Amino acid sequence: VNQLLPYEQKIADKFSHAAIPDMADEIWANIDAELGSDTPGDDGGGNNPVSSSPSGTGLATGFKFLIVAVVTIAVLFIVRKRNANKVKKKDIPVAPAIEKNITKDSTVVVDSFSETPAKSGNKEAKTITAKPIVKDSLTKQVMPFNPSLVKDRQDSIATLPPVIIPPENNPTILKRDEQPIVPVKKGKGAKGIKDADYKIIPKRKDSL
Amino acid sequence: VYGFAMAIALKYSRDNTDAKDILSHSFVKVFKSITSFDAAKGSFHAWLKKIIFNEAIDHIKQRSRFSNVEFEKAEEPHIESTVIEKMDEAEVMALVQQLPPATHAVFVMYVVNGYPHKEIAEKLKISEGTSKWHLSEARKLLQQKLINLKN
Repeated sequence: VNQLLPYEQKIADKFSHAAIPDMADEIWANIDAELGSDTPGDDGGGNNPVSSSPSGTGLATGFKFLIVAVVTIAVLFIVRKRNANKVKKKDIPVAPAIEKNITKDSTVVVDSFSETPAKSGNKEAKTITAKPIVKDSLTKQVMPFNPSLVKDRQDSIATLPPVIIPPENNPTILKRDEQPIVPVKKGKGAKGIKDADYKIIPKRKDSL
Repeated sequence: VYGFAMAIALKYSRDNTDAKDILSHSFVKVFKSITSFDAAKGSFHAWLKKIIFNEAIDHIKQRSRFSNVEFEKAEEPHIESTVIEKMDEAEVMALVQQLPPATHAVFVMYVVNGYPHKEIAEKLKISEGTSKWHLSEARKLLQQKLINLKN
């Protein structure tokens, strides 16, 4: 225990009986600001009203709403993209195989590289492999089959110039892999300087 | 709770604003660490007192510069206790609060709270000699102030 002087004991007594200033509201405001959220008052007394909607709950609701919005946007985007892909597929015409599906009433519409099937009885026509497009709805509008037209077209095909393939043992033609690779050397250092030029000759000292 | 807490804060404060700051920070700590309070270890008032005291010490350290000075034994100034007795509580507090911050802190800890120099030195992170020097300085300054008041 510290040995206090008589006047120091008096000071200690006075300190213990000092009046307490009423600063509860100001202190509570400071605490409120520092904590950043409303807290319930205690017995000593903050008189600030307690907020009816705690900010924590509001924040959680906002976060949930944000998640729902993001998920909705993502789903809409995926659905829209799928629909766009379906439309694109529908736009592409599909040529059906006709060998088995042709009926008696069907008429064959021939495009520039198509030809009638074996139905015409022409053996040469059978060799053409392009696939025709069959449209039943155009039966009455399409002209009947004319074998002379086919003959003319085959003639035009036959007149194409033959493809010339060079012989393999031709020495003038080099294959891609056989071409010689000549490495290009870069010149070292400055031009016109030889190794002897680098020799260092000490100069005579003028001083000393 | 407010009166109890404010009485502790006032002892270590230079003025009411200082006490308000100490209490505000203390209660923020109380709210943030209320889950760590264990009633089995001690009462709530003891826990609260410890928090306020630590906050006050931090406050004193921030505002005070404790220069390393060694105490040399000197003659203690004589102050009549009757002079203090005639003064009211507010006047005595104002008189002590006029001391330099570091000297004020050591005087309050030694005289009002009864801490020995060793404990004061540990809490304020100063040497025992420095603590003794500040107490001696407080006594001298109080004597001068009281003489001035008397005249």
